[in-house]
Amino acid sequence: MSASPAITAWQSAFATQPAVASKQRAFQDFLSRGLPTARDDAWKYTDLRRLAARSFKLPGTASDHLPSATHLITEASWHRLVFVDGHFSTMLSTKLPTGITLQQGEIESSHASFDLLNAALSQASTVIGVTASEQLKHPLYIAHIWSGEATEWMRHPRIAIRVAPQADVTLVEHFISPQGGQCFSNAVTTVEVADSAKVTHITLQEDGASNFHIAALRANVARGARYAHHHYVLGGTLSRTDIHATLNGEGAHVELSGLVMAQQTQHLDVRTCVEHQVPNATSDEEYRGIAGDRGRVVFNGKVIVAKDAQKTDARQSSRNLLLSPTAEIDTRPELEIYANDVKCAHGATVGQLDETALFYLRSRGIDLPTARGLLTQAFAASILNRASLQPIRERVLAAIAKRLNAREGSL
Amino acid sequence: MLSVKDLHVNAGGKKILNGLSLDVKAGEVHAIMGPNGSGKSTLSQVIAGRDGYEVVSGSVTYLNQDLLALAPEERARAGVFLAFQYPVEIPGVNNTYLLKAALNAVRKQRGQPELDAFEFLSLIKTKMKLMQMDESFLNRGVNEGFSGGEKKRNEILQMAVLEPKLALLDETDSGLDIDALRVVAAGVNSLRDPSRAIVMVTHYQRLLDYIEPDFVHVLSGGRIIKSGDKQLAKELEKRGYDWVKQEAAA
Repeated sequence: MSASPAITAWQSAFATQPAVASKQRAFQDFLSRGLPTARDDAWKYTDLRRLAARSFKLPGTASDHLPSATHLITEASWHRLVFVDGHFSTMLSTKLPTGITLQQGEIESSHASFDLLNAALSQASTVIGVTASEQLKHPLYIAHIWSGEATEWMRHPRIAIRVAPQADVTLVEHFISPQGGQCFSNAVTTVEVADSAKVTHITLQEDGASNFHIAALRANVARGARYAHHHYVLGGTLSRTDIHATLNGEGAHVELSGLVMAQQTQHLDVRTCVEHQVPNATSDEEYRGIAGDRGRVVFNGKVIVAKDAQKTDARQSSRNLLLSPTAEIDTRPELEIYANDVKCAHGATVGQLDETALFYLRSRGIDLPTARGLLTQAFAASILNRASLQPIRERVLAAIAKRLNAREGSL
Repeated sequence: MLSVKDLHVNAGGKKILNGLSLDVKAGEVHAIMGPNGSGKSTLSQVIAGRDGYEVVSGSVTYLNQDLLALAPEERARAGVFLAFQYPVEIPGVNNTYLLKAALNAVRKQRGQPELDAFEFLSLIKTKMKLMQMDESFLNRGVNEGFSGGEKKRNEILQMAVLEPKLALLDETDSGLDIDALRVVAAGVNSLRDPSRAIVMVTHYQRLLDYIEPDFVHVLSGGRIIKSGDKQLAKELEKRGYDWVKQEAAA
């Protein structure tokens, strides 16, 4: 079988990079594995052939390009790290406060294809340290943007966040790309949460509607630590995020929440795995999907409870809303439980807007498109309450409202 | 104001209304009574525009327009209000937001300007006092976590804010204790007006002790089989419905 255009382009891009042994190993490993196919159960619902048909280029160094900062969230109090075309931008970033360090460093790869590709091609492998020396009151905002009008460009952000014992931090990761760019974002983020640390992590995926977005997030959560991830997937023609959270210490707690909204022909796939390795830890997961037009949402939520992980309390819920007869939602809970004294609750639903509620609103003079919009936003709003960061909540709600209005216009 | 003529309605393949006729003029209060399954709720749902009912024949005219040709929201804007038997809980849609959107939709139709935030709030607070509702209700989701009585009060609050021309009260007394019933009735009575018509659908005569109707109709088998004044309601309370049915059959 001949190599796809994407693989050929990745080979050319890799050839231009400085030779680094670990990167070469990663790239060879990637080539021998290739891209996942539908035969791989983890990729059953997500076809990568559209991605494989493209030839993505690595943009030049950041200094070659004027950054386009138009879509950044510019809260004055937030600490800001901005990556332009995959390169760190000093100009758009703010001075870091005491308690946060930033350095280049190697970040171990898993054996997943896209992780290996990222390790081989990443322009900046960045290690962020967070210490407890100071309670960080304001969020650390990490944004990935493109300079100018990027077309068929790619970026491979690779970021490790290491949070020291007792530290308390809020992280916001934000992916932005232009509407028509057909760019490829392949991100890897790892988070180490040490004993009794507390991390609130928000990922906002707002790539443009013709862009490809692949992301992996791995979190390790130690004794007595709390890790909450809130995930908003709004962008991309094809988006896939793999989240793996491992509870490694007793008394650890993981919360995963997410909102995925697919419209037009968007295909948005989220796969989560919560792995309880030790006894007496808890996890709570809630994802909501909304699919309209010909959009498709895929959610797969796996919970693993290891043999020794007695007294685990793991909850998972997936609730989904179909807005059109041509939209599709696939949701699948998966439990692998090897311990015998555990509490695991899971539930998945796919439904439509409540007819009685629609009639109630209309009987109060509210027209049908507005009533549908209100109920859809209400469905989304309830999951947004899990993260108490007002600027993000408002931004996501506004994005949803805008999409619903655009949708009415196209009917 | 409202003229229902020989209305035949099916739902789920069954005949529910079977030649119902009713005339309501401005300033009048009508009570429609009848046993369970007589078609009481269907009548109010059809007038408000709920989907799922097939109008086989007959007509509903409201202020000289064909009401059945209008969407539910158009009926509401034209001044038709239905107080639901089971008001719907809508978490995530704010009560105040709904009231304001509903009021502005009606005002727009009447050619009135939208109220600003201050005017709106002072109006709402006055009406809430009338319904003995706590202001904390304003910040909650529509009917979210409300008790049965609170939901019914909220319906009448909406009615008081929207000032409809034709108000339909569907089993508004059901599930209310006597104190809540008094508050709800006081709210409805405060809206009695020579320019407004009120149609109450109820199973029990109890509500009519607090809101005195001008006319009482007995609905049975999908049509009105007897009409009278409030004395008829008292008689029904004493003797039940069977004698009216027998009289109608005779």
